[in-house]
Amino acid sequence: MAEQRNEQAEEVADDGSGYATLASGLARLDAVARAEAAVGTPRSVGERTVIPLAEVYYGAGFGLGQGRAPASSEGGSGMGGGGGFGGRVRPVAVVDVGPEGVRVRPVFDASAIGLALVTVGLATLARLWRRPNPRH
Amino acid sequence: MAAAGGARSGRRLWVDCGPRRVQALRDEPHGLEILVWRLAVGWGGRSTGAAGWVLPIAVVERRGGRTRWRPVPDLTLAAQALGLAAAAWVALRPRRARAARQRGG
Repeated sequence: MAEQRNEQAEEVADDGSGYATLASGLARLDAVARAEAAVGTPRSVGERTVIPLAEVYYGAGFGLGQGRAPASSEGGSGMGGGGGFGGRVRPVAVVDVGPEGVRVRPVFDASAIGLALVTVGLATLARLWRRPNPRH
Repeated sequence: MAAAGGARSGRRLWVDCGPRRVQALRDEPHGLEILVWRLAVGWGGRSTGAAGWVLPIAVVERRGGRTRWRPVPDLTLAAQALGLAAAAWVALRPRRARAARQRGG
């Protein structure tokens, strides 16, 4: 799959669009979401070892455009481009390896759960406080 | 488990989706692997981009000749999914009840 992405980057470079660097950078950027990215480095404390697990997601995009004024006018040509990147790592659980065995302990994200509850609350309030339809 | 949509012909779009195993700990004869789900999409051309998502779903413990699977509990994702489902149900329920009444009479 990595070879395919490198081929994709080369193909974009062959287009002569001038953003080969961006394309090859993007091919490397995909490494952010490797499967290994979800598993943290094991840490040993005494007889115990803990391994953090996380959800990882990212998105990135780059675009380039160019144009030329009609031959009838005296205008020239121009080009522009832009891009953006975003990503997030959210802790999900911790694997606890001890003498008694392996345990998987979930990570409780009170903020995210609170926001979900607020969403439900707002949806309920919006439904309850909606004005009755005068035609019925 | 990789599916490359159009990646071989035009290489304009590629999709990489499926489970992956990551060796987390090796202490022979024991071993610990993490099973993760990976979804990555990319596109190229005049505009190029990529998006990816990786979520751990299970812990595979190998001890001697035995293998034990443990799911990775994601309380936050479960709460968010439940919240979204509840919000959708609250938002759509009266409409369905009204439609049922209109159908009935």
